Amino acid sequence: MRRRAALLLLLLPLVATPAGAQGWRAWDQLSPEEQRRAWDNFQRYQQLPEQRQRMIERRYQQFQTLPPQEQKRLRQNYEAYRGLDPGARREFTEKYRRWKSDRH
Amino acid sequence: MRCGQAQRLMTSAVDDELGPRRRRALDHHLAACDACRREIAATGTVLDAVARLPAEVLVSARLEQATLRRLRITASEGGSRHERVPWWRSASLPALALAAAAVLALAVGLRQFDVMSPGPANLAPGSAAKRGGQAPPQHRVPSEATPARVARQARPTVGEPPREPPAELASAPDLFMDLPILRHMEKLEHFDAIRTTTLDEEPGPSDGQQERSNG
Repeated sequence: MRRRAALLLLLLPLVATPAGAQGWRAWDQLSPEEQRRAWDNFQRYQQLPEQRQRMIERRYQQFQTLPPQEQKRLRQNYEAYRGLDPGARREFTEKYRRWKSDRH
Repeated sequence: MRCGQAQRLMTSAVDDELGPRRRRALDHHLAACDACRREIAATGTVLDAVARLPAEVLVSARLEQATLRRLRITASEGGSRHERVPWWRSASLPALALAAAAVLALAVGLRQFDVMSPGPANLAPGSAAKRGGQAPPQHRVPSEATPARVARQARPTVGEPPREPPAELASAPDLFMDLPILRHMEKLEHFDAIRTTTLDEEPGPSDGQQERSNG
């Protein structure tokens, strides 16, 4: 319950602002396919541990502050990431771990 | 879709990276296939049990992958066999889950023992690089472990979205539309730098500063 209240509080400015003014679409404006995707993801989100949910909320806020071209770049990178075949994805994951350990 | 195909798609589903069509196909199969549903539930049970293990241990990515692969193969064999001989129906689910949990716990325990013993694998990742060795990639599996989360996410979500979505969803559907991006945000921010990271060569004294900009 507290989690729900916190999320609602976080999203309050979004609720208070018309969706059009934010450049986002309201639920009714999503296509059935998009609604289904959002619904599926919403259900998965609810199953995540609280810590993970908080992290995603932080990232969401961070994502919203990014300039549109940066958001576009991340979307493009995600499409590229999705397009990796299993072998390439495994390699990418290894590289990610290597990159991260080098970074710290 | 057959059980084998569903098995193969589950890995991608776990990472939330299935395209909508495949996702639908998988959900459709899960809605109709008791065996695959039970398998996912059993896997989730096992991984939840492992996630509740008190110890926080270092598990190599290879071990984790191998264990999960083994589980999947075992489950897959059960799935393909059940089409001809439904042997697994005679075995109780808790018994299967308990057995798998015991195997996993043993694997983790052995690994923990291995981690405690001296050897290059126990060096911190950075120090291994500095010494010219290449430590196997490791990551932490805390009590709230990745595989458990993975299993939870892999559970099928069958059903159409409601006409009246919950307030959280209705207020910011884009958050949930972009959930996969948010989950992988760090990877995506540094996508190019990660892709150009080399695995084979040992980083030299100045190689540690790999290009990280993603301009």
